[in-house]
Amino acid sequence: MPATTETSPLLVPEVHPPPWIVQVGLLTRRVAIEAFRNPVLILNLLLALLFLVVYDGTVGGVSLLVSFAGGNYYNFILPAAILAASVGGGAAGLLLVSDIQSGYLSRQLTMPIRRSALVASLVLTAAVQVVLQATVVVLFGIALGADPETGLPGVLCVLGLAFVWGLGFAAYSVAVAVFSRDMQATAAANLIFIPLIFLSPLLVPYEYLKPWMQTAADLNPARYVTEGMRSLLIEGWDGQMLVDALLASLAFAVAMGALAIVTIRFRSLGVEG
Amino acid sequence: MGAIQLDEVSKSYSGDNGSPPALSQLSLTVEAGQALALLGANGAGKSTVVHILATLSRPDSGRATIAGFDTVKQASRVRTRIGVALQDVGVYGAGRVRQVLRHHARLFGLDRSAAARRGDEVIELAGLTQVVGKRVHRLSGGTRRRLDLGLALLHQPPVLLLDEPTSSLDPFSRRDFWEELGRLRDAGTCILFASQSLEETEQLADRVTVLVGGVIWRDDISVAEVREAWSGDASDH
Repeated sequence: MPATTETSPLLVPEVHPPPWIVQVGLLTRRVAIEAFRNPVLILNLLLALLFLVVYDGTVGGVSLLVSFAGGNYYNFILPAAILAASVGGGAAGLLLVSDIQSGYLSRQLTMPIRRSALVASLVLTAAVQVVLQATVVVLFGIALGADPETGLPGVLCVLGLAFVWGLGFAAYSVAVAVFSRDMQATAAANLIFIPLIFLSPLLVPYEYLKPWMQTAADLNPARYVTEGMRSLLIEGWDGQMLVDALLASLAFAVAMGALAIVTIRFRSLGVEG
Repeated sequence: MGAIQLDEVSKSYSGDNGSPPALSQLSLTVEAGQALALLGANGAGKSTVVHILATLSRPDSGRATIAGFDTVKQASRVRTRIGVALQDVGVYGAGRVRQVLRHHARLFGLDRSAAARRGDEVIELAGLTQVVGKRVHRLSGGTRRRLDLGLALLHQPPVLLLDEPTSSLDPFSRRDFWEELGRLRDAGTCILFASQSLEETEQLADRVTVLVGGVIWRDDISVAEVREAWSGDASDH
């Protein structure tokens, strides 16, 4: 048998993997093909639109709330529907579990692909998905009567906040997926959005929450994101509100990203390196 | 130094309390241009060997190398040199056959036109010309396996790691793949494949190693000897 020598193709591979950013681009394209063919996307969107209609129908007639919303309750409740749409970020975890269970993740792990590129592609696709859903929600809200005070630039800022928030939610679902490797557990973990959005001044202004609820809201990043979005939709440009909202959503994204990385190291996606 | 080398590799799976280890102090060398068949019953440790060499799992002790590169400490260098087809077909369902091949070729660093060229070559090679535009989830199990094997060959790796590679293929496809793998072996590719098929082993392997309970029961044994042993008292093996 021929022995391995210095000139052997074993030592001089033809394969030169593309740079990290190209890997992320290629992988994101693939994940998007899977994600945007999933009917769950439509269900999440319908849920978010339902939020908008149902809450307006339920409490939109309360004159006190309407006065806080500058006479337009849709402006007040729109962030609730956008945060509900952020559940779409959970698609990242569900796609990962699907790849684990189908054996496709194993194939990817044997290829010269960076682990971080794999995770980034999932999180990025899910965050884009959140933004697309949020866009539909905002357009639907405007069609119903919402009238954003800051106009198109303000709406773009709202969508930017939704994107960063979506990154965090997607990273959280990836962490759960890697830990559980189970579709049902990952889907159930996405229900964390319920305490996140209800333990915040989403339905009534912060001042009207009970003290314990205010404490919970203080610790909840969703409060600051909601108030930031609301300020853009109702009051106009408020630098402090925007900075708080951006910092809260960034902190959420970074914390959940760190959780995902720790979980991946703990539960090992193959041998690293 | 062999193209593939395992030095006293041991592996147990957590949660298998009281169970024997999957691999116990296993040492094995496969040279370039050699095709080694790992035979054994279920649970003999064949897939564990493939997983460790494919950088999917790390040994508890001992060392595994591909072309001298450690599968744990130099995993990324190992991954540029291996083509892998595991027992479970690893292809994503929503993509179309041609799209999947080109996507993987790009991930192996081929530019757009080279990826298209190589993708078309593999379509021909794997007998996928009739299904190039079909989505993977619409393919039959055997066709999906052909695509899976095509992906393993896509970047023309010097080392192929295959786990029961042709078990789900029809006889014609199986023969075609054996011929192709034989050509690659003769051209210097090192092939290690886990199998339970003596026919596959006879066609492809120039060396046979039998594992029992995570250790080598016999190395460099002929297929005839294996057949004789297996047709005897199976409980011995």
